[in-house]
Amino acid sequence: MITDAEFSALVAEAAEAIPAPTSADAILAAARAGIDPPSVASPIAKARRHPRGIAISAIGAAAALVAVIVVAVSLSSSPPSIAHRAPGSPRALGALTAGAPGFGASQASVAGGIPAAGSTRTSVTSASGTASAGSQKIITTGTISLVVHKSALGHVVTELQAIATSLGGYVSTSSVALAGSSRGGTVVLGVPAREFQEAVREAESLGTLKHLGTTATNVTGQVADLGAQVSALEAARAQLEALFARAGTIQALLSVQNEITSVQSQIQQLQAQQRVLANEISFSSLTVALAVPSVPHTPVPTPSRFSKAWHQAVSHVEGGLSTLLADSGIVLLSIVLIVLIGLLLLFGGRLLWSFVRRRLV
Amino acid sequence: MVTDTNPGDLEELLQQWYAPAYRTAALLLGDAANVDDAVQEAFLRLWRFRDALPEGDGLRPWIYRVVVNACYSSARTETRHASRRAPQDALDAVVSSDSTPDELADQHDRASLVRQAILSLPTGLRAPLVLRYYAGLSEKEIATAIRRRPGTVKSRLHEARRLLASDPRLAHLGLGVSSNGQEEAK
Repeated sequence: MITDAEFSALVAEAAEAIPAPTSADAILAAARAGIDPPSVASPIAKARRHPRGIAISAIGAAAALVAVIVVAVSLSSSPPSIAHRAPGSPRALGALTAGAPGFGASQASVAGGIPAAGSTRTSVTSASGTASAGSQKIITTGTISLVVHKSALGHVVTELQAIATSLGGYVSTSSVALAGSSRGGTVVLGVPAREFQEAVREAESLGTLKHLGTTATNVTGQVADLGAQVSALEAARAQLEALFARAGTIQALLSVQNEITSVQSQIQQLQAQQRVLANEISFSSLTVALAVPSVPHTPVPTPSRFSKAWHQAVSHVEGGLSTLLADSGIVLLSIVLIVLIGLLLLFGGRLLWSFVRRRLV
Repeated sequence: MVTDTNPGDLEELLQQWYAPAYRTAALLLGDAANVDDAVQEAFLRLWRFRDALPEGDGLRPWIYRVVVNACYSSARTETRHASRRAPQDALDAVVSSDSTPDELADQHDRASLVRQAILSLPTGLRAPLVLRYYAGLSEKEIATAIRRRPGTVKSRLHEARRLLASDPRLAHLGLGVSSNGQEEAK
């Protein structure tokens, strides 16, 4: 008589004798490579899978082709580049930040309208050379160097923070030494692009302007490229998802799933780039370098010729003595000792002679 | 022994369930080609409807239910094709009881004989028996897997054991399974 457990063991033994792929890696490798597990697939199964595999390959190739065409079309449809000279006034900065037309792949240096002590530079560049009039995507950055009194340094930093906040921006980084021998530092503000000019104007009023430089980079083409790539990949993902729903084998399922994962990853990377770019376009970066006035040098009185000669003589004597002492220290010490001993002998002899003579007398 | 898991990942699902599903299908179908087809189909169904898969204890009977259904579908397909080749049921065709137990014992080992004895059972009895003695499901879980009432499962298991008890292949091995659910030596 056998028990239920013994019969279960017997059935399990019969099942284990069936050559199923027990290694997970082997299963997956077989599924991915399209190799049937140790058993042989029936002609019916093969006939059923073969056309479906071909269909999947064909649709996959079509999806890839569509993606390439979409990218190519979107790139070729980018507007031609139009180059303009930047307006000759620093106040034209407002026009740049507002995304108005009037610049392209050009760079201009502008001077004037700014305190005479300061230097001003405005650069306008196009990232891809595909800028055109209308709906421009501009990244604007600026650098201001200010000299402020050391007692006002803390106040200026606070004011810069207030400027950023009042304009709807933020302080990106701040590194300022308020005490010590190297007072000063840098504050980087992020302000809405439309408020960039106002931020510059308010910031430069906080101290003595030493330098003002702004750069506007046209990234319209880059934005368009990214958008086209994301659209193409999203279309490809939709195709793959349709394939995924119709996959006829585990092999197809796995390969389509891997493709979807890969495409999804690419989409996420590009979308992250889009977000960064959008933030850079929306918020201009203004770097304010703060320094305190340098301490003036105290004038040193010019010595007279006599004084100069006297000092030289004293210096030479001191130097000579030092050298002599350094070079002949042992010899001098010996001479001193001999002299001392000689004096002792002399006085001792005289005392002894006086004593002897008194005795004799 | 397999354990339950939430099959959120296809590879994880395959790693955990492919081998037991394959062997269950092999005990139900016998034909290796049909087995491969049925298991593929079962996993495709599982993956497509993975959002509907229950978690925890309910997962195992659900997976076996899908495997059993895929096996039935595969058997029906094969039967239709086989009927054009020969007027013989595909499931019955894979096992022949014509040989005497002595001949069979010479040709096959014990595992093979047990498997043949199981395959010789009617299709409706085979699934409860395999799910009970190989997959280790309870009668209630088997009822869920094959969508029958627990009472039906119990009566089918009873009938399967009765038929196995009278199977000459098991008798030759000195094993028998009593019709009242208790195994007895013959």
